[in-house]
Amino acid sequence: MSEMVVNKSDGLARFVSLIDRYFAAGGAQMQFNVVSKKTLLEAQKNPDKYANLLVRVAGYSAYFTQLSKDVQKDIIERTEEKL
Amino acid sequence: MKELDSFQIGTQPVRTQRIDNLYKYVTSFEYGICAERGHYLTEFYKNNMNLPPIVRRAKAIDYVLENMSIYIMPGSLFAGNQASNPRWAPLFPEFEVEWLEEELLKGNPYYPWERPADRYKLRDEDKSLIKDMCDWWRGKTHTDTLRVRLPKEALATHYDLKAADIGTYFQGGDGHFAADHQWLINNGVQKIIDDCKKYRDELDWSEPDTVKKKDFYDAAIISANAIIKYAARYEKLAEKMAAGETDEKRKKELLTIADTCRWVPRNPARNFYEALQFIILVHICIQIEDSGAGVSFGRYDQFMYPFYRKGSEEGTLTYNLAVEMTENFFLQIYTCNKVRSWIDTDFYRGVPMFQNLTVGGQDPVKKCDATNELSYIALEATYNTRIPQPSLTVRFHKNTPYEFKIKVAEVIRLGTGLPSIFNDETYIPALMNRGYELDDAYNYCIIGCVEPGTAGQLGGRTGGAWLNCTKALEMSLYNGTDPRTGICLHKNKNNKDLSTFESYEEAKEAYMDQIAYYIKMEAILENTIDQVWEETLDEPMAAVFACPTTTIPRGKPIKQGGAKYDLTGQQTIGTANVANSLYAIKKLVFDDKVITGAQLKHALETNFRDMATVPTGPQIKALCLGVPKYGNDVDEVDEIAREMLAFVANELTGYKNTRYGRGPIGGNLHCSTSTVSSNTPFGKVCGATPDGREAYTAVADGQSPMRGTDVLGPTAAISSVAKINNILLSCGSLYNLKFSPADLS
Repeated sequence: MSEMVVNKSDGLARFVSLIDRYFAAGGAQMQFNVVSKKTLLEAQKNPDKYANLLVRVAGYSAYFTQLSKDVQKDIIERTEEKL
Repeated sequence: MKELDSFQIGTQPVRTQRIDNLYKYVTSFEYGICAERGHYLTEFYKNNMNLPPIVRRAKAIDYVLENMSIYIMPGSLFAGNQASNPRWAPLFPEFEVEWLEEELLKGNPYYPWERPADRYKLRDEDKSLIKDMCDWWRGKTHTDTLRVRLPKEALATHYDLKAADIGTYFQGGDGHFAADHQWLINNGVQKIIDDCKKYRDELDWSEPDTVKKKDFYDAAIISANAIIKYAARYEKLAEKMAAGETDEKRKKELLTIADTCRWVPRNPARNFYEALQFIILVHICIQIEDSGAGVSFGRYDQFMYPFYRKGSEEGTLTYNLAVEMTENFFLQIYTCNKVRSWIDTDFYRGVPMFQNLTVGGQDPVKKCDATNELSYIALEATYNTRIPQPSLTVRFHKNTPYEFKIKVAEVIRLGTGLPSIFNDETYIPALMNRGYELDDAYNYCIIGCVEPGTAGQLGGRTGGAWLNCTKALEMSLYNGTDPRTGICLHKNKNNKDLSTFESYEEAKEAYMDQIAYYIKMEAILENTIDQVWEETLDEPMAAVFACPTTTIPRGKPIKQGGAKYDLTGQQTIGTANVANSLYAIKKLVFDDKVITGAQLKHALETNFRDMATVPTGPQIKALCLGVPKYGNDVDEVDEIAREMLAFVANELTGYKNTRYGRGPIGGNLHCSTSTVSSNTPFGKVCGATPDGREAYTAVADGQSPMRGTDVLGPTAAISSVAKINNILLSCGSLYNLKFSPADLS
């Protein structure tokens, strides 16, 4: 049916159960960045190479390298959670 | 493995040649500013100030649509453009020209093309057009009127203190609704014309509101005809392009565009393809009428599904063709853009448009899972296009199929931030708590960032002022005085400050007193803006495209009470800073008595820098940071977050909006924790706070824990955030989480 193969890896399954857990507890909304700090720091250094890199800012996504430095900093400093 | 750094970089999208070319074409355009809309609108207004405001607006937009440049992108299956080039932003001088003049003409503080970020190009030849529009509009704009109509305290709240910021709705339009695409594509715009004529003919001139109703119907008919004429321009353009096209396949596609634009939006769509072309034209016209962001699409997989099924059954539409058309549709609407003043840009970093599109969720009547092939198709289109628009939203509920959730997770893993996920089990009761009928609540979509509403039924605007809770907290520590500006609009009721509070309860009470005062200021700002809007800017297109089933029978645009539901939204920022700060005061000053309120106040005033005190500034900062923070499943502090946010939500609901008692259900303000990028500019006006946050650094986003302070892992973090009384956040809840790609492999 789809060209994009559904891949039920452990990481994805753990991720889905985290969402289920938050929602079962009464949470309303979740949004995610899935990117390493290393990539974001490299993108700051080489913006041309990472021109297409999208990230979640708040209720929207944007090209990381086009963001102002303070917003980039905000995203880099967000806690990187471990599943 | 490259994916471990970013799946976006490590994996390739699956695109047809057409989509790949179109992606390259659209993204080859740098952001730019297009003067055409502003120019034609001004030209029309100059000569027609005698017309009733809503008719003048309808005719002015008609004039813009007749004269603006149109184009069809190479290889695109659809027509429709908002400005003269993809990703160029039109101008809306009727809202404000001060910033256009200062920034576009004088470069103060920057020319848009020289900004440190969020740059826009401008053609030299457009500068004289911009000068002309500034000259004519100066003194006549929405902002000019607001400066006269708003009380000075409300102006100081917005301009000086930044305890609330509503600049967006001074400088531009409302947006923030989901058009009734389902009704439109199944009825056709001709139905609007026919119905409005019928109602207009039945008007009784002895009734006092007939003049206003007649103006509305006249304007609605002009607007409906305007979009039909606009489509006809693409019909002619496509025919002309087809005549000069040598590639037979492309010639045929162009002739199909011509045929389609002859049929829709006047008539109901007959198939999936026509429905998409219809939606694009309606969406673009809304974006030309109003500069408001957050114009959203509603439940794409639901209202398009009958067309998808029909095409599949007839053998005219395959899954892959629907994917390609959806991707083409996404790229088409990604061409829309908006330019904001430099100050307002700080609240909207990264050129967002918030064109939200919802899939998943439940059937409003059957109350069962409504996921279908189109839900998957939308996910696939987001995976493949890898553009920031549309903002894809997915609704989850307790019976969402596991396979669908895994697919959603796989798209999220790409790291584009899309889609975001919403919980029906919380959002549906949140809406019912505001008066939504059960079926309507089950049929909600997401508008803008995170705001729920039912397409075709919700008026008002889901966006509003940003409320800076950290600022209110800071002022409560100085007996109502803002240490940055020295302004005091409202002293604490107990007339005390951090050095004289005698208990934690007094500190908490002072904060609640300050935030309640600034919520009142916010209500004044919201309602005055809406009142001025109603008098001069009411929008016929938004009225009949957003809420045709109520505005037309009532003969009222939205700001006069034309919608079924009407709630004024807003954004509450800094809950984590408030909770952490109050808890730090409780622990350090009153429970453990480690330092006095006077010592803490001095440390805040000196931004934790004074080395001459005992303990020193940095030592006090360390003490502040050492107090447990919201986001680690510590009940005591989480409880404060819950109580303080619920207080804001309940205070807001106590204020009526300008549509109260005029037709809609609701008619009041309500709360969200949507942030956009306001946490950075709000941080810039807030001094050091007792949570250990240094002066002028960003405050916390949404209802997320303060960045870097949720240190016990995601289970503890989500447990804290889930303790918030989310049902009160009927205008939306926002929680950011960040994961390492390696964790999701």
